[in-house]
This record gives sequence, C-alpha cells and structure tokens, in this order.
Amino acid sequence: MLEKQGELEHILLGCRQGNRNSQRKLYEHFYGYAMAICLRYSKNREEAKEILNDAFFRALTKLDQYDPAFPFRPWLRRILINVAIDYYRKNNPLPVHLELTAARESAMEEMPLPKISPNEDLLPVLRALSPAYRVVFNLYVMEEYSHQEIADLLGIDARTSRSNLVRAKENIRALLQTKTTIQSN
Amino acid sequence: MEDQFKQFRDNMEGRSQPPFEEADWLELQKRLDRHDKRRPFLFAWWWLALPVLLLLLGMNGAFFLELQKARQTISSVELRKDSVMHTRVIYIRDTIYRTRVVHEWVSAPLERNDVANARQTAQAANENPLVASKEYIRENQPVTANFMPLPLRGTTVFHYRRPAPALPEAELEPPIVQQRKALRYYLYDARPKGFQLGCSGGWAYPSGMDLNLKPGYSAGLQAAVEFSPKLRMWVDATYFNTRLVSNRMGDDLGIPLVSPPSDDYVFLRAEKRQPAMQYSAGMQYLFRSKRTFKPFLGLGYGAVAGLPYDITYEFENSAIGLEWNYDFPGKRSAALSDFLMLRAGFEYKLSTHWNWQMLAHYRSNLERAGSGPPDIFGIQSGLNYRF
Repeated sequence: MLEKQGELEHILLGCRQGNRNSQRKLYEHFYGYAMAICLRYSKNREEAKEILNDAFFRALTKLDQYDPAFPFRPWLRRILINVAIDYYRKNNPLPVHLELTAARESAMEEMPLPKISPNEDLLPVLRALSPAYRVVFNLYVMEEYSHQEIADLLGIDARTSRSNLVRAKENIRALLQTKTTIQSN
Repeated sequence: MEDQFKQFRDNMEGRSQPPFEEADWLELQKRLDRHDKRRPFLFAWWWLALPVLLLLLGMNGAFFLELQKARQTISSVELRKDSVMHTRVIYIRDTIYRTRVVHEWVSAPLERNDVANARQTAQAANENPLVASKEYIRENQPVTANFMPLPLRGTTVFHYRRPAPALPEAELEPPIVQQRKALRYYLYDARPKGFQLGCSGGWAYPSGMDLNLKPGYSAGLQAAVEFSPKLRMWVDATYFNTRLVSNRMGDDLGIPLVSPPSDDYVFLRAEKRQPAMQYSAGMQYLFRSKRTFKPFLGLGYGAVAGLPYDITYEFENSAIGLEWNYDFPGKRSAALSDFLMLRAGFEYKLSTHWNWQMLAHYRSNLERAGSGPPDIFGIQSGLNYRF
C-alpha cells in the first residue's frame, strides 16, 4: 500500500522536513520488516529494539543522503545491517580468532544441515548461537556476503569468517537435532 | 550446500513480521526530539560566540586606536605645559614692566627728523625729577645730561614714554567652572586603558566525580583588557588533558559497557584520557596595583567542550593469572557544559611591557548530569605582554 511510489515519496519528503507524523508513518510501515532483521542479529528483543531505533535514527537524520532514484527498502536494510554490525563490534570488542585446520573445515562443510520444515521457527536456534557465529552466519546466509566482505566488515580474517560459519552450522545442526529428538519423544 | 542455506533463508524470510509497538516509536521520538533541540542550541552557541569574538576583536582594535590618540594627546599636553611656563615668565616680565612704566626707554631706528626729537627727549628726561635723581642715574647710565649730544644715523635713540596707569592687582587664582558630568564622562572614564596578550601552562587536577582522578596538564592563550589599574577583564582559550580511572563502567561516567572475552575475566578498572577545550571570560581585581608584585582575585564564566577521548579497560582472569587490556575502538565524544571559575594569584612586573603570572583556579561545572568533563583545580603560570 505505502509502497506506492507517490505515497512513499510524499512521506519521505515529510521526513526530510522533520515532520514527526511522516516519520511515524515511515517507522510504523517498516517496523515489522526492520524488526525481523534486527531480531536475527540480537540475542533478545531489547537488543533488537536498540538496533532498530539506532538504525531508524540514523536513517531519519541522514535522509538527505538517500537517492530517491533507488528503492528505499534496500537502503534501509543496508543501514540496519551496518548498525547491527556496529552493535556487535561495540559489545564484542575481542575478535575471535579461532581457525580450524583445513582438513577439519572441509570435513565439516560437507556435513549437511538437517531438513528444515517450512513452519519451523528458526529464530530461537539462531539466537542460541554466540554473537560471533550469529553475525557471520547472518551475513553469509541471509545477506549473501562473501567471506572476504564479511572479514572487511568485521575486521577479522577471511579464514576466521569461514571457520565461524562452519562452527555456526555445526551448532545449528546440533540444536536442530536436539529439538527434533525432543519433539519426537 | 547452497540449497540448505536457501532453505534456511526462505524459512527466516517467510517468518511472520512482529507487530508494531507504540512504546518503541515513543522511545525513538524522544531521541529525535533531543536531537532536534540540540542542533539549534549548538548553532545558537556558535552564532552567539561569533559576534562576541568579533566584538572583542573590534573593541581591541578601537582600544588600540584610542590608545594611540591618547598618547598623542598626552604628548601635546606636555607641550602645552611648556607654554604655560612661558606664561609665567611673562608675569615676571610684567613685574619688570611696572618698573619700566616709570623708566622705560624704547629703542627705535634713528631717522633724520628724530634728531630734534632726541634732543628734546634728552632734555625732557633731564627735567624729569625721577630721571634727574641720583638713584636713577646710577641704575640707568645711558640717560644722563651728557647723553648723546649729537645723535648719528644708525645709532640708537631712547624715547621717553609716558608712564602707564597703574594696573589693578590681578586675581591669580583661576575661576572655578562647575561642569555637569554626563554619562559620556563616566563611559570615557571606564574605557579600556591597556591590553595584554599571553600564554600559560600548568597542572590540572580533576575533582568532583566518583572516580580516582589523576593529574593532567593544561596549556592555553589568554588576553586581558584593563579598564583601570585595578580592574581587568580576561578572555582565555585553554586545552586540558586529564586522566580519570574508574573501577566501574557506565554511560554516566562516559565509560561504555564492554564485555570481556569470556565470563572468567573480571573487570578491574578503566582509564579514560579526557582532553577538553575551555573558553572563559571574567573580571579580576588587582590589589597593590601600582607595585611590582600585584596579587589578584577573579571570577569568570565559560564553556568547556569535551574533545574525543580514549578509554583503556583492564580485565583479569584470576584463575589462570592473565590480564586482558582493551583499548576502546574509535573515539567517544563528551558533552558541552558551562561553568563558573574562581581564580587567584599574583602578577609580577618584569619590565614595562612584560609580566609574569602565577595563579590557582577552580572550575565548577554548572551542569552535573551526563559524562561531561569534570571539575578542575589547576595551577598555571604564564607570561604576558602589555601593549
């Protein structure tokens, strides 16, 4: 509905002029979409809310940098990801340099994830990961960044990113199997 | 492998979106309101500071020109004093003139038809009882009976002048003129009479916060305008760098929460190196202003802007005896706050233009909340040049 170009443009114009009603409309419309992304990068709702409001604050105060020639949703998504990464770096200052041997890494990469049913809620599984694994997993799987891009964003080595992904996958597998076992019992 | 990820991604993307929460928007709205309020304040601060600076510069320029004019006026007044001295000499001559009223002879170039006059004059002079007296002849030898029987061209002939009437006694005391003092008179009296420029440096001891505080240093420039020998206004810009050590973390101290690498590490302390830029202005009163050694006392107001600062955290893992130090990445910036300043010290006059200052000051922030720079007790020494 709001995605109609004319209405969105009107709201964005109001936001640029500092109109609080327009800002609220924009926030309300993109709230669900943005909160779903934030929840993936945080361990609880409070953290997600903090990331969400940080991102919206940044978006609303830097709206003059947005080029209306491009869609608004990807621009907002990029801000959300950047804020989530900043939040991760702020609260996890020590980069985790755990590298696996090449043989073990390739062996673990080959191990498939258990089958995921479409109705399964994966958010608790994702939240159970450590912050370092969760952020790498999100960036690689959900945002489809390469390991080199992730390494540049997080200030770590590309091999560390790869290792974190493998470990994240291993943890997810273990969590899903446990979940399946509990459900079957 | 990629299919697994795609399955995962589709599952997450297809997840139902959380409903809108009004409380979240209200929180963001408050933050936006604070941001909107802060911007006009900052702009207002700069727009207020700019005219003040321009005004100060203009005042200094005007003061310098006035000073030049005043010096020229003083020079001319000194010349006029010389003229007054001449006037006094004229009074003395006037006294002599009164003796001449009786005896004065005025010289004039000799003319042909003056010869007869000269003879008549000489005769008249001899007939004058005063001139004929012995006393007069003794004092004024040229006027005798034998004087100039045959005057020659080019020689001086004395003409007798009739005695002038006696002058009344002059009132020597000048008349007192009552002048009404206008506002302009007082303003002119309170005009700037001197200007100083100098630099200073010293030690700064932070105080007033719940922290272990370490001394730092300060360095800055200062200017002063003298309204009278005892009253002076100062303006200064000083850079402070202090160290604060805390055994707790918190945004109220400007030390954000940081998680250790693992739960085995215990937070020991955080060290914050806090630089700040201080601008202040105030009035100071000088005692013994005419002496070489002048104690002074001053009260001022100013603003201090916290510059971006570094924080180093120390954690300890007592189980394995390891310490982990962590430098907070990036710079944190502190808030702008205003303060009152009390300063006391002394000034020692080294020469006509140079003086040395030693002072102690206490800076007390007016706003206590937030993570602004702490109160400062400092000792400073400086060298000033007086224009």
